[in-house]
Amino acid sequence: MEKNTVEIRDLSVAYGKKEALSHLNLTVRPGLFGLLGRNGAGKTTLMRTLAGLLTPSGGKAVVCGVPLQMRAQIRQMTGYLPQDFNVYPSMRVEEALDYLGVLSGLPRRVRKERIPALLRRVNLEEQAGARVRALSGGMRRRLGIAQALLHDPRVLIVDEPTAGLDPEERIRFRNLLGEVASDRVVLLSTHIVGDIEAVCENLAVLERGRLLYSGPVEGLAEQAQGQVYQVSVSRAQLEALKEQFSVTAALQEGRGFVARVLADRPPLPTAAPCMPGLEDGYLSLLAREKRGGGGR
Amino acid sequence: MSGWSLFTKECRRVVTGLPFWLLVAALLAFLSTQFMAGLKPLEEPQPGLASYGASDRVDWEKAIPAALQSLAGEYRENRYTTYPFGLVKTVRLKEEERRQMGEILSQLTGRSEGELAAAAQAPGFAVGDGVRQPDGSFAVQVPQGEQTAPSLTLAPGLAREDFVRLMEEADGLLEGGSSYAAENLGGFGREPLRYEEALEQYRQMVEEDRVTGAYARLFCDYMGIPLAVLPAFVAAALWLKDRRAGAREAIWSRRVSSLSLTAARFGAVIATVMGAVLVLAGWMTAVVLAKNSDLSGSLTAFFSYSLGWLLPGVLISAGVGAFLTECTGTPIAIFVQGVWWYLSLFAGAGELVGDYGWSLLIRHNRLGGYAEYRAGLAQIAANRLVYALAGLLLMLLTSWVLEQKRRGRFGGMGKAIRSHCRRQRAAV
Repeated sequence: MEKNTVEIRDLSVAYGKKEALSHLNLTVRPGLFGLLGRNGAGKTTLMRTLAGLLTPSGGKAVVCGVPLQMRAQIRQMTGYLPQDFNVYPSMRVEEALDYLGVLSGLPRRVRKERIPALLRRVNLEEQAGARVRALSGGMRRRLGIAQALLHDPRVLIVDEPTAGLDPEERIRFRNLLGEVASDRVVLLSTHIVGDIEAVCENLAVLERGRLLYSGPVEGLAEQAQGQVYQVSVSRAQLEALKEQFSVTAALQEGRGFVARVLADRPPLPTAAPCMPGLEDGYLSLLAREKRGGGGR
Repeated sequence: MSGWSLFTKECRRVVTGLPFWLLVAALLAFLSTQFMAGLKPLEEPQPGLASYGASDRVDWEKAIPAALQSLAGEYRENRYTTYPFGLVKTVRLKEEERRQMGEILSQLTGRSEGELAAAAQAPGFAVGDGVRQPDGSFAVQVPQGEQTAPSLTLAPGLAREDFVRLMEEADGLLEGGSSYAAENLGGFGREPLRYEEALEQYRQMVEEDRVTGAYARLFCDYMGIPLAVLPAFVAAALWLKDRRAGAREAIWSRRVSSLSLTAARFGAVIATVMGAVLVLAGWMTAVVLAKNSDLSGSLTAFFSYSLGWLLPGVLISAGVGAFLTECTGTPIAIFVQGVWWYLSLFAGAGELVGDYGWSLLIRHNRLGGYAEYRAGLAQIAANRLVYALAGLLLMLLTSWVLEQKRRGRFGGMGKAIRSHCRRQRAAV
């Protein structure tokens, strides 16, 4: 077992009778690893389990050589940015980081060095004295990254960090994640394909608690090889296409539309095949899963 | 783990919260209106004074007729005042119960119910003074304007035990809380304190209590009332902050152990509340010593009494606040502790000194009372020790519940995730 990896073997997590994760097998190596899936697929459940906040009902996971049962060590080694990150709104930014640093067992000297450096890194230096409630959504998310990195974790778990951010903030955030992934495992969960495409080399796709795909990003795109077509249609034809096929894009062109369609065969005689993108591969995988075919 | 840093940060969070300052305001209010309002210096009693106050001894010669007068007067009006759980209540008896009360009075006085009823109809009997008759019975003279209404006498040969029993029955008819209950009858006839007794009490306050000890018990009696309930507010408010701020995930994913986090927060509530109490204790030490500047007083009595007498109440109140809030995620602890406090306060409303028992609130509403205190010291110590340990046990249980929730059990993050997923699916 490699030292700086997350190894997941036959992992299951259940809430009562409902299985949120089912017999998951996955290996995550250093770098940015994407976790893609719809809402309710089990991404957050997996994130929280790896952060030591949920107890598996079966299987096991080992984070950098430490089994999940050793919670104190797991919490020391992992930095977690939850999707709904928040701290006490009346606290000042620096004060909140200092408090969380104390909860991570960092001595005063270390906190005094790291907190200003982290605030500079996430571009919140000027907001150090501001109250948390006064921060914008993007700033709050950057504070979240700062607190996740505060104790220099070997594994960073980031749950839907760009949801709700404007494009500029989203790009800034992705770049920041790319920087911090140079020397640690960064597990990025999202349902936005563009985020994965921009920064991840490898990813996994979850659906209803099961693993549909795990491997390189380009491999997911190949799932839709030979299934992506582009065709010019009228509005009425577009509506008809939508009823039969998965229309992944429809750009208005003059009075008609240029539709990008996912299909096993040409949807119309005039349809031209095109290279599949990541989103196509993702949607193809989901469609196959729905039909009961599973991934390639 | 920087336990001290965490503790100091939690203390800061407590003292920057409104509930803490409301507690301080309540302590100041109790102190100024109850303790300081009647604060007088100790004065050595002089011989030959008309009164040295009331003792705890009961003069049954006085108590029996006074109790009978009171009952007869209320019977006439069919209007009885009782104090169930400390709240004043006016009781009016229905026909059958009135008849039963008449029977009791009949047994007490030897008068028939008819005679009592007739006497109640006419000008009726009112309250007068009791006079021992040559035959040993009491005659209760009941003047009514220009007329002298029929007088009531205690039934000849009625033993005190029977008198008490019958009065107890009367109390039962009134559903309790009346002055006729056995433990309250003595209030009708306290014997006056004799000079020698007053002098001995003074000596005990100066020599045994070293002045401040006598005041410190009274201080703890008053301060114990708000301190048996308000720390639950402070603890509940602190414990609710994580959930209210949405900060649970950020905190629960940290390395800190559940025991360390709970102990730091619990310790912060105790330290800040007791810190406020000890500041007041120090202030009162100075005030009392200034008022008794001609006497040599102890500098530590207020502090030691506060720690031994008040701290356990703070521990149990904060423990209930922390535990129930951690279990439920709601402020229900405030209601629960409030009910317990209320029942403790008024269940023993009649006994303000000496009956320490196992109540949450132990009362000593008297300046001095050294003899009663010494007599009950073992019970006081046992009571306080049990509550202190119970408070600490609740703290440990709180940390255990927190750890289970951090692992996704007892609702915890599992419940939050399910709720989050339901919202996400609904949005899709």
